Amino acid sequence: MKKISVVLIAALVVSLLFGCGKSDDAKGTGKTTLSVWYWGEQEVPGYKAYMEEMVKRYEKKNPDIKVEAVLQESDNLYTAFRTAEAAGEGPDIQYMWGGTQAMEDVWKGNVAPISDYISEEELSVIPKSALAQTNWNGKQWGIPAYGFTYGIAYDKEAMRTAGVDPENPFTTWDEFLECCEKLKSSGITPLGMGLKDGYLPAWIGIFLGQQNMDSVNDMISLMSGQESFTDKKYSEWLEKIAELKEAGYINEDILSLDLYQGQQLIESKKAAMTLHTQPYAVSLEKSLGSDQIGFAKAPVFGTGKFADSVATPSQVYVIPNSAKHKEEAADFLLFLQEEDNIKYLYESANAMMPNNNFDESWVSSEIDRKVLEWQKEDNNFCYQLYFAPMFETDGLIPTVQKMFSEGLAPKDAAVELDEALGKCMEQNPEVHDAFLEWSVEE
Amino acid sequence: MKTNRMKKFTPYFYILPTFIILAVVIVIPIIYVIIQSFYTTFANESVFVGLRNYKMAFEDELLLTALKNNLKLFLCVPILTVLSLAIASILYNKIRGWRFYRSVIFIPYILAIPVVGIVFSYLLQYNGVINSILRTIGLENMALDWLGDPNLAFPSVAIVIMWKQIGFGVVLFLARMMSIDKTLYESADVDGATWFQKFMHITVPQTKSIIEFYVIITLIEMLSWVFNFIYVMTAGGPGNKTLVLEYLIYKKAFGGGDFNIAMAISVVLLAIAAILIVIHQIVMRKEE
Repeated sequence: MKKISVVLIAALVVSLLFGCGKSDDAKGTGKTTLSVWYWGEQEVPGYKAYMEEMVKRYEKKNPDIKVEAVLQESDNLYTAFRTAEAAGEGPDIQYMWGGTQAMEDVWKGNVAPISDYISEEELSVIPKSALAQTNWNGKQWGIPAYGFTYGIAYDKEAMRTAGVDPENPFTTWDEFLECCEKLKSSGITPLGMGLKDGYLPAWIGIFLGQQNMDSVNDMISLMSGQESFTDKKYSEWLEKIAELKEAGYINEDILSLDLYQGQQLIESKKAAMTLHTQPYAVSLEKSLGSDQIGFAKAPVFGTGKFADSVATPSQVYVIPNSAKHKEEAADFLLFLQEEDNIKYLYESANAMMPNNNFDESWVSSEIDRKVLEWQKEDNNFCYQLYFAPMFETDGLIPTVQKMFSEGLAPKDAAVELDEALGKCMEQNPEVHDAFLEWSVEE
Repeated sequence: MKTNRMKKFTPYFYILPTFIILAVVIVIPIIYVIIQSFYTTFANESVFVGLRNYKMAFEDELLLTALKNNLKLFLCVPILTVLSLAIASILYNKIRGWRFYRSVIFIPYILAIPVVGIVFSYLLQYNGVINSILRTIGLENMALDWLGDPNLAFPSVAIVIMWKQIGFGVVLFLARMMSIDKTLYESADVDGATWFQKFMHITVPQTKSIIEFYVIITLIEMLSWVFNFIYVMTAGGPGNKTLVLEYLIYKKAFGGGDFNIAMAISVVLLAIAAILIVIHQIVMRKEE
């Protein structure tokens, strides 16, 4: 009996030690399993269906590969990846938000260079401007998952009720304030937003933060600490936030709601406008009708060359350092760039892939036609892509929350942003040096 | 001879699986975290930086903010203890339906924290259920932004934590009270003692060891078991008003991707928790 017990214990120990290994093939079928951790449904409705279709198509084309695509929640996107990567158990393909939000993991060493697996010629279908976001140290680290444009989605019916032209509600800041006042006087909350989860401040920055800047270098000077937020050029947008808040143009429960809850106020007719992405606005346009939903550029108050710029960033896919099937991962990512597949992306999720093969004749929505015009006519600049590492979490989010919850004055908010930026640089000197190197390459 | 040697080692074989599990799940990760707190990671390489992470953590005002908030949460402990004792004492007197009340009070404790957090974050929204009721009954002035107001967010979360945790104390104290020698109460009754006198001179001294245990355990919980409440209800906001050490660690590690500074803060948290555990052990030994 004793011997049996000892053998059982030994077996338990052995199974504990060796039983947690990760199987490489799909449940003993001999197939290679390619794991994809992705996100996007929240800002590009239909992206999940698109990914499922891509998996089907790819598996049909490559019968020896099984693709396991897992849709992540916003909160889990980086948490799950960084935890898995620290354990050397990351997926084969990881979705990331663009700019420094992807590059931070590159600098930390969590990502493998995609250009080691995809040739320059194969990458040439992607516009250089889209690749530049994740190009560093002479290598390409990410490839676009999709592109989209930020704008203000608005309820045309609410505009009509308030006596505002729904086809051309505002262009300048003064016109925007006038529009908000008319809406408010009609008993309609002008802007619906949610600040609780902290994603909103960066969104506001994307619409307003760049308006006094003339070039990317201005942003880099700011984020490297050479310039200060206390300079009106960089902080006037904080005054605009305070202006909207004090005038009562924003929903009262902004601090109780998450970003997406705030955006949904437009759908539930509790607010007339919200900051949103073009694919989401198009999905509303398709479901409610083009006479119900409009999409406008940010109102202009600034005097810089970027005052009327539009933000058209792309989210990216990267191949993690610990990926077991890097070659196959690269092949899947290239597959997503094939013409049929980028067409399907647009048809199913209204997202335009930054790809030279994207055909404008596919565009059927009024909003998208307008967005394509903006993209051709205006500068493309996305404020958030150039945030210094940790600046958003440690600086921007608490500061803007304080502006709403404690009435922090714009001047004081600017000082807090400077302090937070200084701390971020001090706490991450190596990452910050890499950030500067990357932004200079930009 | 051989059998004797086998006999000597057999117990060690039996505890080996537990030892391995504890080592893999607790000891090794703690050692790893302590070691990594002296490194920084860049380009997939760990570089030794000495006490730099600790210096930066202590220079970061967020650490102080989080620590202060954890200490503020400690104030919940006496409130919880007194309330739990009072409720347990009332139930001990076997009022009508006491078993039902005991179950009702214990239910929040068995609910998952994220469920409690999500439910309360909807209830406490500015346009949530509680405020809607207040507005309906004409108490518009009392309809406040419970989680968005910087002065109310922390007390609101603290009340939810107490609501969730009180059941544990009640059940713990009630169980102890039920094992108190009944003759003590009978003698007190003969002497004409009031309910309060019996409570102060019999119940409290007899449950002293359990009270001490409960206080220490709850202090540790307030230090390192409140992450889920904060994560679900406020995300540390507004403006870091509800930031606690656990959430700060999460924010540094996963929000900013700075695992090493997060590990340094984890070691600080571990040290504080260790002090509480040592106090607990000392108190327990004294009792013995």
